[in-house]
Amino acid sequence: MIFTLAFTLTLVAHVLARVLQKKYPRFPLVVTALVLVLLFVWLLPLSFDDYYSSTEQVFEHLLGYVTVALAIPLAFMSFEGIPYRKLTRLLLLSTLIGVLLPVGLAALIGLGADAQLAFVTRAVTTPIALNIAEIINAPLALASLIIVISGLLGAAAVPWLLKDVTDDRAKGLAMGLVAHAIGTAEAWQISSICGRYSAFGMAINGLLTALWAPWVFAYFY
Amino acid sequence: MTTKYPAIGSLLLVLLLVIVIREGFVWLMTVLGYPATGSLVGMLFLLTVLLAYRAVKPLPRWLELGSSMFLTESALAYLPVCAAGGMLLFTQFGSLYGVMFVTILVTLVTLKGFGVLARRAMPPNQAEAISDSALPSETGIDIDSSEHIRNQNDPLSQQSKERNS
Repeated sequence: MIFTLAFTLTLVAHVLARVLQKKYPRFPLVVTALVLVLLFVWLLPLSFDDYYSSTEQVFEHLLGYVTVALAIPLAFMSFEGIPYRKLTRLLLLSTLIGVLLPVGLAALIGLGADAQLAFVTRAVTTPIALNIAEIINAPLALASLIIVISGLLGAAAVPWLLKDVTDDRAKGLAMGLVAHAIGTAEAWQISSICGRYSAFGMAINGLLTALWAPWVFAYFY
Repeated sequence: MTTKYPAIGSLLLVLLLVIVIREGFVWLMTVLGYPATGSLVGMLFLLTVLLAYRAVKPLPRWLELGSSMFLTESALAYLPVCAAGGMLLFTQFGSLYGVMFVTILVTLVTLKGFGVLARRAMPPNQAEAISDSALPSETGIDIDSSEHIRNQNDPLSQQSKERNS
């Protein structure tokens, strides 16, 4: 009963957010749907804990299917005409800055070692991020919160922060590199090209970060 | 985008494919002692298989159509975890202001920075001139026209390569 109610309200929030996005394209779908879910949970006789625990397992499966499905647009890509050097530089820069900037800033303002470690996975998609967080002994709940907030903020900020970036390829790549899976879900709302480049950025950034960050931070922390 | 399967058939085939692969690899990785990596390893497996297939012959169109439809609706999968993040932020913001400050600042700065850098890294083409509001919906069967225009200008698209050859 609780699951049916929770699943239905999630679905209704998603559909309503899509309708609203058609009317007001500047509203990011994920953010609108999230606000609607919280509103529905508040209005209905349902606690958030009940809502989350009843939907967690089913949506974890859905997340897994989305992760696997991301391989398909990546497989359709052809790199002909793409400047390899510039793209490689950008991807290397993104994995280094995506980790070192937040960790350095956290250290600079005096946050503890746990919080600093939780920032290592800020720009990495959840399935990869949780593996890295486990290896470096970062607090998983805080790491998840940072990942979700980064994704939501990145997805929400795109319409005004990247309004001068009219190329969907560049916009998608930036969304994938910074706002990972939530940004990629939002990028698919912009266009399939934007979504594909975002999936590419997210996957490469996740894999590159998984290659160096766990070993470096496990050594220094 | 033409395919011998209707749009809904393409979507169902893609769903079947990702469900079988994901569940199979979650089972396998659980047996090996790394259950959390099942989806990721499944993704890498599917990518490897598709790239190997593509080296021999072009990937079937139903895959692209079905995955495009599925991923357009993928935001639904993130809703509960996003709502949990929103709720945690709402209830514990006072104790997390330092973490939030760094998260917000870094996300906004890097998004803007990488947006500008990515624009400079991409070769200019007509795709820049295409505004989304001018294009039809990409959520279903009416994907054809927008995909056609965009993919002709997209150097990362295999379709573009095939059409040009």
